[in-house]
Amino acid sequence: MECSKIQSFIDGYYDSELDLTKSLEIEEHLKSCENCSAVINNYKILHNAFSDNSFYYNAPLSLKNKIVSELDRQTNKPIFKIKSIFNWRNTSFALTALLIISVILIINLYNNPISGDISEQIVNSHLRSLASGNPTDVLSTDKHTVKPWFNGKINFSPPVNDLTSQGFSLIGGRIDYLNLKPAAVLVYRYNKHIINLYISLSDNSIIENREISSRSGYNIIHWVKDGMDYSAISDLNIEKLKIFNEEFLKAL
Amino acid sequence: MIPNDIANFELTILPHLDAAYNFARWLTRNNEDAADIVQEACLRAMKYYNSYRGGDGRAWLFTIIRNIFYTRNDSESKSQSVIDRNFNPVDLISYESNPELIYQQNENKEMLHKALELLPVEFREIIILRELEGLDYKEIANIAEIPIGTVMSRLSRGRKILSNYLVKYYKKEGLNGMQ
Repeated sequence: MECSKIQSFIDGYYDSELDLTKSLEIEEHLKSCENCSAVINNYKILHNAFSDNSFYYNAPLSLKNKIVSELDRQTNKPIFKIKSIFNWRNTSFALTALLIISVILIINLYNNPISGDISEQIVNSHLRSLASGNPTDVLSTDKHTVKPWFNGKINFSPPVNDLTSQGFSLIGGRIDYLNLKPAAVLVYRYNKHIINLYISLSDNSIIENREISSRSGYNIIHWVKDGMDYSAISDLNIEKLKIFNEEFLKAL
Repeated sequence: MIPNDIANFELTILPHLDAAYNFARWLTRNNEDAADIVQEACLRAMKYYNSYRGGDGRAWLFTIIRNIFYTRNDSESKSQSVIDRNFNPVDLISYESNPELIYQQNENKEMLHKALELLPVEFREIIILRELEGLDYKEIANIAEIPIGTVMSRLSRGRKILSNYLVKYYKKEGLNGMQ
């Protein structure tokens, strides 16, 4: 073969992309042709040069963080988007879940007539906050940002504790109403689980009291401290939620 | 995204952010545009993750990045084929006897860097996918939507332009140095 013909296959040879016959043909030619061998030699030099780190741009950390937090945001989005309603698998899941939730709700209503009203409001508010995909009005992991945000919006100043080192990261806060009274809501995350902590002024004269209940598959811990009513709700298991309760009190 | 998809996304796509950025950086030749394109590509990948049919997540990500890049630069890539006319390979195979000399100095690394940046994008992208990512012709052909034969001829042309440019540069600098 002539050099010009060899040249049109030489990259395929170099990259081991040719069949054996063609490959051997080119190898044979290279033995006797200095010019074509020089091309291969240059390719090797080029390849070595490219393996230098300066040719590879690693993604900046800020970009990686952005993408990871976007993925986190997706995690907290509701599953039942309009689009996925047309997906039969999701629809049947949704219907089953709805059925189970309604059954549990009905059973709980009968079993729990006293505190039923307020916990129901808490469950509803918790579900709404998850469904909106955006459970916070002030988005910050800094308690010095979250605490002042409540100023002027409600008539008391709720304690805001950052429990990140205990695994419960503060992600923000919002205002909600329970029994027509304003409540400060602190939003925490434990792994993929969201915890909403409702804080409102208490009518209760009892100093300390802890009630544990469960509704629609959500665990709720209610306690009173320093004239304020606290209700923590999450799909976390009850033991973890108790730890959250204890760590919150410790940090006060 | 459904939770299962999110877990899979973490396994199949997240490990390739460096490769994604590197590819985008060589396409756009600047940091801001590269970061921007990678971010958009990841958002699209999350949105359309259900259309991902398995296989190399990196290759899928490259395809998305490339689409975004060409959509954004439609006018640029067609009119301004960045080739510096001086780069045209004159006599491709009449090399000096010992081309290794060329790459011994650090500044030659910078020269090669520059030369690769100036290479027209249709050659540059193929060089990056082959030389920096080690993809085979078939994978490259799928990403760039060209036949395998075209992958080979673009690689050939790109590599020859680069080696030739460096040989020329070295000869010129060598002469200046002697004066």
